[in-house]
Amino acid sequence: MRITENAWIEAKRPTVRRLIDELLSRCDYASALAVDSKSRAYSLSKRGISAADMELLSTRGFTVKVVQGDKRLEYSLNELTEENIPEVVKSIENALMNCPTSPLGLPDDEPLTLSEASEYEIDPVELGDERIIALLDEIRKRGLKSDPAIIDCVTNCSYRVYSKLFISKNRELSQSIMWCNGAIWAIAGRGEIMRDSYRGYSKLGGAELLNSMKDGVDKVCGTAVELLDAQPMPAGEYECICSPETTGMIEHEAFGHGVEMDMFVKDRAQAKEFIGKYVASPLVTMHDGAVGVDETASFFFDDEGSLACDTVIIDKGILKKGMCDQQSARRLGVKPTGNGRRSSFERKAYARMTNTYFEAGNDSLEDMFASVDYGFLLENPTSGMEDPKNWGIQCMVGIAREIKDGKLTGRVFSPVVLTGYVPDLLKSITMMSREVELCGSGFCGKGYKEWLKVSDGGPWIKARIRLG
Amino acid sequence: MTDRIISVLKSCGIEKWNIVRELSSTQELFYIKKELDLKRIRDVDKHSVTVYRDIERDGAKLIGSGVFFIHPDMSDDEIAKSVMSAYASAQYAGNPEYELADAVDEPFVKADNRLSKMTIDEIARGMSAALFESDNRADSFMNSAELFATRREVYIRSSKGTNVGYEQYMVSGEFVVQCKEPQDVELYRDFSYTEYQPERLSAKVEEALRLVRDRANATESAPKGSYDVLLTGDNLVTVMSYYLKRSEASAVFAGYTDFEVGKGVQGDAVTGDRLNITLCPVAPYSLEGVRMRELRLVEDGVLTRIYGGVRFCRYLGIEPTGIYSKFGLKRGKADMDELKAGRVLYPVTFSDFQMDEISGNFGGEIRLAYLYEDGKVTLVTGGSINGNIRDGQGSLRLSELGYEDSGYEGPYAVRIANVSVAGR
Repeated sequence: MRITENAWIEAKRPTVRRLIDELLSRCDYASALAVDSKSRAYSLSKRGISAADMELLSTRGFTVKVVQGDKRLEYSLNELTEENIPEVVKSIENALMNCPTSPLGLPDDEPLTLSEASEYEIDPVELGDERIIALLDEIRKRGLKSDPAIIDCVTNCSYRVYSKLFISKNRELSQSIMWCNGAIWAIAGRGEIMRDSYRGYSKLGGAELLNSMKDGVDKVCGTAVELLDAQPMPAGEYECICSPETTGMIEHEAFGHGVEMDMFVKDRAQAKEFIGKYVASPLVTMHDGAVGVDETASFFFDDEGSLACDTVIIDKGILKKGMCDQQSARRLGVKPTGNGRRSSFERKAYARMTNTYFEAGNDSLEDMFASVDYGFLLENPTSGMEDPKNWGIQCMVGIAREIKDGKLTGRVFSPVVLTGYVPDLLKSITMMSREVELCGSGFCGKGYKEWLKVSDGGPWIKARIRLG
Repeated sequence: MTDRIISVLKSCGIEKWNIVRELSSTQELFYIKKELDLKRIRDVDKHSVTVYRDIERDGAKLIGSGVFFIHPDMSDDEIAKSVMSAYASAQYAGNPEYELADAVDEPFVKADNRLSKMTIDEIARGMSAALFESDNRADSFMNSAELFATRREVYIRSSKGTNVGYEQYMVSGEFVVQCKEPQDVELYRDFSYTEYQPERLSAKVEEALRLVRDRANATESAPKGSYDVLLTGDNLVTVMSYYLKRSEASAVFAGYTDFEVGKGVQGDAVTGDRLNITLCPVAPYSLEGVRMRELRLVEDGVLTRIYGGVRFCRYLGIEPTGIYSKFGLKRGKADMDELKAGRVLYPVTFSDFQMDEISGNFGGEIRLAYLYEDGKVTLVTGGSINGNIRDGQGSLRLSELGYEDSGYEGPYAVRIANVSVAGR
């Protein structure tokens, strides 16, 4: 089913148009983004049961952008009516007076109209709180019973339905999107030792996601129990097989942030010098795009009114291009790629990733394991941080499973820090599986803020990685 | 709007509720090198509403809650729809019954510091000048920066009769410094102040400009092995957050921690400095309307109290304190030279430094560290540290030198023994 038209957005459409017309009589460029976002999150744990709307994703407001000569200004507000338009215009005019920004041309405003919506199978609102909580409780109870060492099995689910309207002189775009997330987090304990394990689930769509969570709980709880016997990771460089979610973390954190092209503008990304050069094994083709796959970062246009794209970032090992917002595109003399995204209507648009993934390879998982004499299977990525300037890898995984003579030995190591130089790791990829998985259960920051939804993933990969 | 929401809650028959209104004005400045790339202003008025519902299930008395957000242009019908949706939701989110926060009815607390005597525009301009004051070196420079000057008013009302509010000012942001020779490197720092402290920001930039120059000269990682590690500033705060998270009421209630009041938090054999931790309020009230005061959390290594929000404190039979986002740690006696004696690895910047409060594991990839070996200093970069606070907490050594930011006040440095380092 398709998400229905948003009544608030439709009611505000003429008011936003009038504001833009007023501003265009005073400025060289004016645009407005109106956002209406509803969400709800459910959590069941020993801490109790909660069902609450999420502050970050339950918003309603406007971002107005104006350009007058060399002055650029954005104004975020959450009250815009026919009556207060003169007051809003006056606030913008006053703020523009003290706004000596560096010279830059006008934003791209080729004529465009669009009205789109995403699809879903089960509306979480119709399914209802009672049923959603009951399903999460069923999964949680199965986890709690799975092993006496399990202290808690936390189950979460959340959804967001949002609508956006973008209006400028020549553009009028609207879209409505729904995504759903789930997570299982198990905590195991023995004496003073406590360890945890996590798995996320995500989908562009609705509460049909909950059905896919049931089968994952045994593995999550089993891993938390296994970790109670984990040994410290012996530092060294090893043959590693990365699960799709670990592949996703490497491509997103280690590489993806470095090709967000606002980093090129600031001279903060080494990737700028590598366009047209090999940065990865010829096996690697990497995409980023809000179209092309259906995940939590799928949409039809970005927060600056640019149409979404499927961008090939790395083609058979060669870096082709990055992801670009409007302002960076003008500074770099390139076309925006539909990656100008805001954490909310209250925040600035930056060049941000959407759904980032490697294409599938041609190897079977069995052949990949069989090819490892001694190494590790890396699972459960826990965190990662970008280093676009120096392409240093900073990623952590929750568990490394030892592989000897092509087989898992049952020995596990934790925690594990992945380090090294990004192109070295990507060039060391020698095998990629035929299966591809993406997940967008987490939020991505720009530095330590600006949280928004992304997804990442790809195939299982075999690479040489420094672990510690 | 608050009165309209209360009126709708009453007409919907809701007896227990809590409303938080946040009214904020912000000026945001985004710089590329010294040039302003974009100016943003933000005026937002938000209401967060929690409704509570008494439930009886299988003879047990429960209370459920639902949270929702009200936007300024919502009609009474829209508000009522949100109220009833959250109230229906609360029916299925039942938890053991507890008493909501006691009523507090006090006059609005106005901010009274240097920031409160300036306009947002003056604050933004003054702190921007401080940001670039030290940016005059030949070898390193400011790459880019973001600065946010915010004034906010918070109002809390509840069905129990709470009616309080306060005003706050904050300046926060982040910057990246760069050094191009002998290799092109950068260094990230963030900042947050609740007082007008341009001199502190300027000093932070100056230090970063010096450190990034050292990073440009660092070429090799440290040899792999076990080291005593010296952590300072934000990295020290990250490690010490383990003790705060483990003594929070919701973690205690759920059994995610083995901390108990009256027992040591640093293990059985403490040969180093014993910890003294104080909880420091950053606002006069929690968002549930609990009056927040300075509280002792750990005294000479022994946990003196559990702290937290209303629900979990009630479950544990203790007075609710509110959730704290700032803490103080008593300084030690060691000077920085003592802490650098022998063989010590001193990472001053990581790409990211993480602490997992469940396991006690901490670690991160090193962007710049100083390796001290009996007086000889070597610059190192790359590799990672990977430790567990439970292994080193008995022999911690804290500096006499102090450090303060919006979330911490205490020693600048801590030395932790026997931390694994992955390197050459």
